[in-house]
Amino acid sequence: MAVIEARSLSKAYGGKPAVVDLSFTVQPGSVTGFLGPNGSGKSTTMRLMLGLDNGAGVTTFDGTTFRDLTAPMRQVGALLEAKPFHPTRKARNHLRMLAVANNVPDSRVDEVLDLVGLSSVTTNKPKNFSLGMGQRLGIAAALLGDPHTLILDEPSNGLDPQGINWLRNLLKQLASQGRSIFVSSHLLSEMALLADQLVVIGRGHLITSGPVADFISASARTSVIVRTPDMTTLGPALAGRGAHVVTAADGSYVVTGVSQEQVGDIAHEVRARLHELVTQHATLEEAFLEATGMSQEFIGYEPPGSR
Amino acid sequence: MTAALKYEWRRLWTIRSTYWLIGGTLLLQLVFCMIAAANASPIETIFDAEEVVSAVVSLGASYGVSPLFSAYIIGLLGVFSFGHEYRHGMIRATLTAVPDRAAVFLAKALTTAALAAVLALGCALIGLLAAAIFVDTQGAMSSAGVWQVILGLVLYTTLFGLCGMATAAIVRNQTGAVALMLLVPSVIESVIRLLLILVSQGGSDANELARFLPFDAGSQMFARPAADVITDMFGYDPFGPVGGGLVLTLFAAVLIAAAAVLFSSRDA
Repeated sequence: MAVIEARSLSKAYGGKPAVVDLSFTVQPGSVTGFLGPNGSGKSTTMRLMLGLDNGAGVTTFDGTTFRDLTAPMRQVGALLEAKPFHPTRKARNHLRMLAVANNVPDSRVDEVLDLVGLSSVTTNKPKNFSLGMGQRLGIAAALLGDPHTLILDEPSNGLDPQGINWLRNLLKQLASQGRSIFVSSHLLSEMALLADQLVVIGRGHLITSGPVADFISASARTSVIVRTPDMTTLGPALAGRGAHVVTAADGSYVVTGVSQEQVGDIAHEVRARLHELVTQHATLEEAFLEATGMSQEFIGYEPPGSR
Repeated sequence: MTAALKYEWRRLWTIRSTYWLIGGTLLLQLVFCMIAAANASPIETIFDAEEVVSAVVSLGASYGVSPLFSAYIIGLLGVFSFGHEYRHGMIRATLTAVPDRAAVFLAKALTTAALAAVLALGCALIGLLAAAIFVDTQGAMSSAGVWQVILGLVLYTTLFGLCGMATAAIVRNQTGAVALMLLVPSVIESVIRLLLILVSQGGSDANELARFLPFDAGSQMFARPAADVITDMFGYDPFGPVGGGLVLTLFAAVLIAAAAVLFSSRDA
């Protein structure tokens, strides 16, 4: 089982930096989500990792770069954006072509076609495939060599809800077998269900990496809900510890900057009564929006009155 | 390297265009050669048997009266070897299956060259068959002259296919590469030659440069009696088969080298 180590990846297109000194590690046995706004450099990073783009830095799979792997598809399976197949080469032939270069037996081709649910269209031409079928063929190619590492760029693109559910279970199962899975997505709700670890980037820079739970609890959007009749004494004490207190519409208070335990201790010190004390976790989406708020590449216009 | 060759070989035979191009080339060659040979009798009185057989085999290209049509069709196989990669984003799938770019490039070059050579030879044999049926060959079928023309055809077609491959790898656009391979040898070289001759009317030796036009020079490998005609018409001596062949070979080598450097240094 392989550790993916990306070291100081950098890439500029025409002088405009796309990825800047990006380093991270992906551990076996986990699904690592790769998050970032549109244009933040996720796809570029994945192409750099696979040696498709020439840039600075190095990515190793158990110490070996992708270009130096023999029979690479047996070790690292990749799905990149767009449909990388010829429109009139039959699905089975497409996979057999990839297989022959990696010493993968042709019998495995039918196995993966079956696995991704394309066994009824093996001799069809991809030009007639829907977006979801094309995506399934790409996933089949990534799984072809039964690799210990998967690098998937937006794999749920074009899949229907059943397909997304199937893919999630498949990736979780593959991770539980000890494989390293690195998957980008812009669907945060999907990522919240799928990923154990996160790598978050914005404008090509690393924003954070680590367990999903840490990312969410570190967010300023994670707050403590307090209900108390004694805010006149508790309020200044909280402010003195650097907390920020906002009155909510229902009369409760939303406290940020301190933990639930700290609020309880401070209340005890100033003899304030607590009727309710509960932590409200940020969602992954809130944490993500906060973390990447200043690093969007493309910022849309919100019509007035939309809030 | 074997992985790249296996990949390229299977790539070639799992796509319809390969069959269409090969089948189409051989079929057209058969039909054209039969028609040409069946109607060769008038020129048999003017030219000797060796020249007539050469003309049938090359469909007139040995007399410079028509371009070597089979080279243009077979050349498309060379264009498609890289053109398909870039037209459909296949290059990313290819390089994740075989990340060694030098091996991928070499495999494509070897496959293109081998296929072009075998097909060109096949076309020549079809021409010989047609000549054997309709022409009074007088033993010319096994003459050194005819086989030198055939060798020239095979080498020219092989180099043509490799130029097509290199052009597609450089421009990374299949349509553009097809257009270039159809235009440069037949149209653009003629126009440049005309311009060189016009310029040389002022007394310069610019027309001498025309002999370096690569595809025109390369065609001297199979063009036979035209040298003095060209001298009379255009005022310069073309290279012979060997010199002309070297000019085209050098041109192809430069094109292939440029393509190889760009292929290994550019983003896929």
